[in-house]
Amino acid sequence: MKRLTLLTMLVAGVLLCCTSGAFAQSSSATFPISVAITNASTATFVIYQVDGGVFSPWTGTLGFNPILTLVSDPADPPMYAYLGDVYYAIDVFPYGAGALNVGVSYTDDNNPNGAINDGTGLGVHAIGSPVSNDNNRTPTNYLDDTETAIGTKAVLGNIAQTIFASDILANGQYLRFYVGLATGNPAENEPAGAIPFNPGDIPGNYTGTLTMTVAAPGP
Amino acid sequence: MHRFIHIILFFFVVLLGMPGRVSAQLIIQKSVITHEIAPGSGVVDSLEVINSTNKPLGVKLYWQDFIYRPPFDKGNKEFMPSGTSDYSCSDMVTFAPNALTLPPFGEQEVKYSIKVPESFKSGCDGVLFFEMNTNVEQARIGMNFVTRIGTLFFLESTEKDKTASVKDLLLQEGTLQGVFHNQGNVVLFPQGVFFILSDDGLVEDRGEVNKLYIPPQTEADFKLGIPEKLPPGKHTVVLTFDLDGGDNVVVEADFHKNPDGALNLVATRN
Repeated sequence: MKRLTLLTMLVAGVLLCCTSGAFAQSSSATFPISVAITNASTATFVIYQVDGGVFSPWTGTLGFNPILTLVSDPADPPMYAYLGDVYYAIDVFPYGAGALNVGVSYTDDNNPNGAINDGTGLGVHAIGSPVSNDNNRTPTNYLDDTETAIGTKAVLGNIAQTIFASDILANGQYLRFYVGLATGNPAENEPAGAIPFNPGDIPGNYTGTLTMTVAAPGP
Repeated sequence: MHRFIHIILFFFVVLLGMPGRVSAQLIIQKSVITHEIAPGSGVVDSLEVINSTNKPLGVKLYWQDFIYRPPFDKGNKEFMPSGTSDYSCSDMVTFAPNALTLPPFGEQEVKYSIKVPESFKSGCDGVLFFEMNTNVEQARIGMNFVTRIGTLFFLESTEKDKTASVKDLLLQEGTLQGVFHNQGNVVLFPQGVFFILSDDGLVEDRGEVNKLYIPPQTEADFKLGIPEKLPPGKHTVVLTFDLDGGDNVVVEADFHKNPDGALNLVATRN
């Protein structure tokens, strides 16, 4: 057994010497190395339902559970609005060669007040607000994030816009898109045309579709 | 030992089940597909779609047209129904399947076939969308959230026209600006680089001009900053727009910097 091991080592040694000799004889060799990165694209969408400042992961339809609320000042005549009990934060992480742009669009699906997209449906009662978010390296703490407005805060009926990767990804940030119902509160700086649901709206289901499109700018 | 392995597996599954902030959901192997095709010929190829989650993922595939929107500097597009743009590829591209359900961590090949007519002597484009719908149940007041990732297609004929020029150079407030004119029949993506040369031919500065996305027969503005550090005297900007495939547009602009810092454009050459 020992003899066999010795023999094997001897053969290996001879082979190694021959190989080294062959290398010594050749002047030099270049070995081209290349790495091909495909221009793959992907995006991660993470939805949070925000209730009382608490962010909870969410999947499925973005429902607002509006509650009839007295919104007038005590000295004024009583005025009521249906205010959303919750709102949503949609985090978008676009990745891909050439950086990917994110398009946002909305359309009404059902509008008891009138025709689809006629300016009386959910599209004017809900607001979208795109921001870039730095997360402050504390993913579970939402209070220390720095958010910068990018794009235009608008009622969803007018939200059609593209958020550019070059703006989103500056300084390692990502896109966060807030969606919520209008409140009518002047302190909220709500966009022009935003109308809170109120008792004047015809009862029924107000629904729509929010679409986010991710695509490369070009080759 | 077995118990230890079970504990590790348990935590692994729990971690997979958590809503990840950084895990991708749908990975499309190619975000952009370009083909140069001879009139009357075709291409058959494929791309891979990967589900990177631990849950099945339903995906709907469909084609749309798009056009680039002004100011053509960041790739902003307007997506349109299939077959409605002037440079639509919709009748030249077929793909399969139209819908797929990817198993957890699964992948699937999407095949596409391109056949262009004998008259194809320009370019056309379109986008293949992969749409995911999170609709579970409709709220009384609420919205469905739809996400879609697009793979852009750019088809060019081997007999295309990539004629282009730079015009209207203007030196204003420390910025050289001009207009890039795509006079051809394919979308151009000029990527500009520039050198600033001294009167004796030494390189004083260099830089890039933002990439442009210019449809056929369309113009786009561009600009580049002249650095303040340049000494007074005569200088030349040599600006080269790479149009890919070995084509480029080169323009030179001589300017003079006065001792007070004012810049005057002296001459331009194409």
